[in-house]
Amino acid sequence: MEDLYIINRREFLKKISLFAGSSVALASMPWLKIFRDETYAKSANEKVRLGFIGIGDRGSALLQNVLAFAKPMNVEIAAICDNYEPNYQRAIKFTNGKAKAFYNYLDLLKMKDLDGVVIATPLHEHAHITIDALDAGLHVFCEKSMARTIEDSKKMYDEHLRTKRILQIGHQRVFSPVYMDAIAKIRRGDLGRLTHMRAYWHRNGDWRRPLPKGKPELEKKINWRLYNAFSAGLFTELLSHQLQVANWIKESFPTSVVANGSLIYWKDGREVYDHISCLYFYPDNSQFLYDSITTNKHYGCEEQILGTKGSMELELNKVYQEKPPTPPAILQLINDIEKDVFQTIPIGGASWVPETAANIKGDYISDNYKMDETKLQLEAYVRYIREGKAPEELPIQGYYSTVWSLLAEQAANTQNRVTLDEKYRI
Amino acid sequence: MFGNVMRVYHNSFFAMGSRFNAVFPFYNQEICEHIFNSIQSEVLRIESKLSYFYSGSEVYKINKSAYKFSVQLDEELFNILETCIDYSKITSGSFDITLRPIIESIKENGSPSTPAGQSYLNQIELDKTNKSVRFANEKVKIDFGGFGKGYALEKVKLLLENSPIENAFVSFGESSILAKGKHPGGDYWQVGIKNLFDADDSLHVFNISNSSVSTSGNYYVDDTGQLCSKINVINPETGKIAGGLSVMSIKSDSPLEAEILSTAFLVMEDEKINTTMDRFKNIEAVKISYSENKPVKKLFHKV
Repeated sequence: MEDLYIINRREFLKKISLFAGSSVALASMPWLKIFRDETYAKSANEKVRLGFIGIGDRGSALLQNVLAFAKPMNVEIAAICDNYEPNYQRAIKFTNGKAKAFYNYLDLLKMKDLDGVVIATPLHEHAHITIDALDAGLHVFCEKSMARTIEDSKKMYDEHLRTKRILQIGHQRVFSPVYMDAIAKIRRGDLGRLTHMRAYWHRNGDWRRPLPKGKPELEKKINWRLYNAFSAGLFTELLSHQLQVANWIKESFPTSVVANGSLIYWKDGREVYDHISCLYFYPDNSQFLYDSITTNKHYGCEEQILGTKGSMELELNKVYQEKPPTPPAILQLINDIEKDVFQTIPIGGASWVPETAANIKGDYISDNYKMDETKLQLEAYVRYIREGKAPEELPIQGYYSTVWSLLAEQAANTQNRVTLDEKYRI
Repeated sequence: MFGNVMRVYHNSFFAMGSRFNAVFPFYNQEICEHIFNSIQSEVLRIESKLSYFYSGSEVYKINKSAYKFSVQLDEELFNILETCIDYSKITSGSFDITLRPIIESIKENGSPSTPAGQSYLNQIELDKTNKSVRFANEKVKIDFGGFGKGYALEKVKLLLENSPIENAFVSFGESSILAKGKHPGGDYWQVGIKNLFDADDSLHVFNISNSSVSTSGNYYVDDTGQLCSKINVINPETGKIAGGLSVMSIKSDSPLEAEILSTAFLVMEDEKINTTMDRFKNIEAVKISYSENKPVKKLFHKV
């Protein structure tokens, strides 16, 4: 039976071909060009050989996504690596023992015939593994956020430029058909002037992964997201996703940020905040308001785009008009009154109804078909490897969403309004 | 007036499956905004109470439960039901809030769910003492589709009467118009009934001041005047769907009365319309039917 992804992919490719002539796709989503490149099919004969480093929860998901299209896309999972035994064994199982297995990523990087790696280790390990992989001549797909520090993020980016290897950061929303359609509609003015953005990610849980029985020494290895040395917690693990969306939609990056963080509920030895809120300022003086909490999930996860003519809720795939269209007769009446003209208003008739009932309670931004954007971004990575290059906008998006997430952490810690040091601009 | 230009306040919102527009030739933005917000709140309150589709509405709950047990109503909804039953009697059954199941049955099975001339209305039991309603069986459903906009405008009329706004023009889906005072350039407001095949042409003009015009038809049009779809309008007496394209417009001091009578008269025999009109004060009625894309206008008078 044909994989659902492959079936949906055809729909996606049709959609992309419709986008082909639009300036919005070229200007706002240049990374999609790879999907409509007709010369691509010819080069697909060459096998792409990938190594996976870090096969925890996210790494496993990425691995399984690639396995799902490995055959039709002519991809081989040549190597896997994890220094935690249960993950290591799980990865061997996923690949039926066919991939070479390593505990140390440096051994994996020594393999001669790899084309690229997929890195999904804890955040603090991203930088040195990425830099070593780039130095080894490999292309890199690295999960977001880029690195634990701004300095390391800059080093990763610089190394990608120096080695001329691909550096793709895992912001899957840039490959989501809903977000693509949203951007197209926003750019053509459906929401009027964009004046404000809000986003949030609310969960109700301790954000912990269970430790193996009798192994308390593994706490920081398993629950690295809760400790400052390894992660900035909600800033780098959740905010960075939605900040990337804000930057993409606003077509710019913040100029400054104020933020606050508090640890008010999960007092279990963790160091990172369990509630954060941030306010970003953009060059057009508009603001992006964000919060993430771990004690209530009623509002879930959302990015709200607010403009003078309408609003969008991207996660829900909904768009709302601010006002119904004004009837021509009412426009005439207003015009008449303003110009002191008294005449009949041809208005009475059968009732007006919107084109669809959904216009009243919000319409869908995009066609209601399923497309797995995580798979799509990995397929894009494979395609970029075959081309030997990827659009520079991808690492730039990844870089600034990481850097500005880390600056929000800085703002929360210092209680200052924080800006980006010139030396970290790219 | 600012220079030679009269400032106009205009605002709108979605409600009852359509749109609501208010135009106030007035210069105090803050007062206009305040009145408009009160109107919007009231209209949306009524919608959330009377909606047939919204699962939180009282009507939805009644339709779901009243055949199983008596459902207690608040004073407003009880009065609404009584009013609807009264108007049904006055219009010899042409206004009927229980027609939806019959129309749905025609749509699904090609035939009505009741014999011709039989309505579900007499299967509604209202208990005046306990202010409750009970349906005789599960087929009975109430739908305030031909009532809601008029009822809402009746409330809007009260809000406008009690406001400092002297002149106002309100359009609810363009099929229900309410006007207070006068057009700044005239002594009243001139409401034209549109020609389906020429949107700029008015086939009939009503001069209204502190009154309303309601139009019921068996089709929908869009803003370019294009015919979007036909609506199934049933004649309760014959149990048959009205054929052709036609609209019935009523001018009345009461927006609710205009709404109810435009719905009822659309399916009523012409002679009966004339006799029924006798029972009402200050109403005017005009019916426009289209035959081979040409409008035929008929004015009705009290006998």
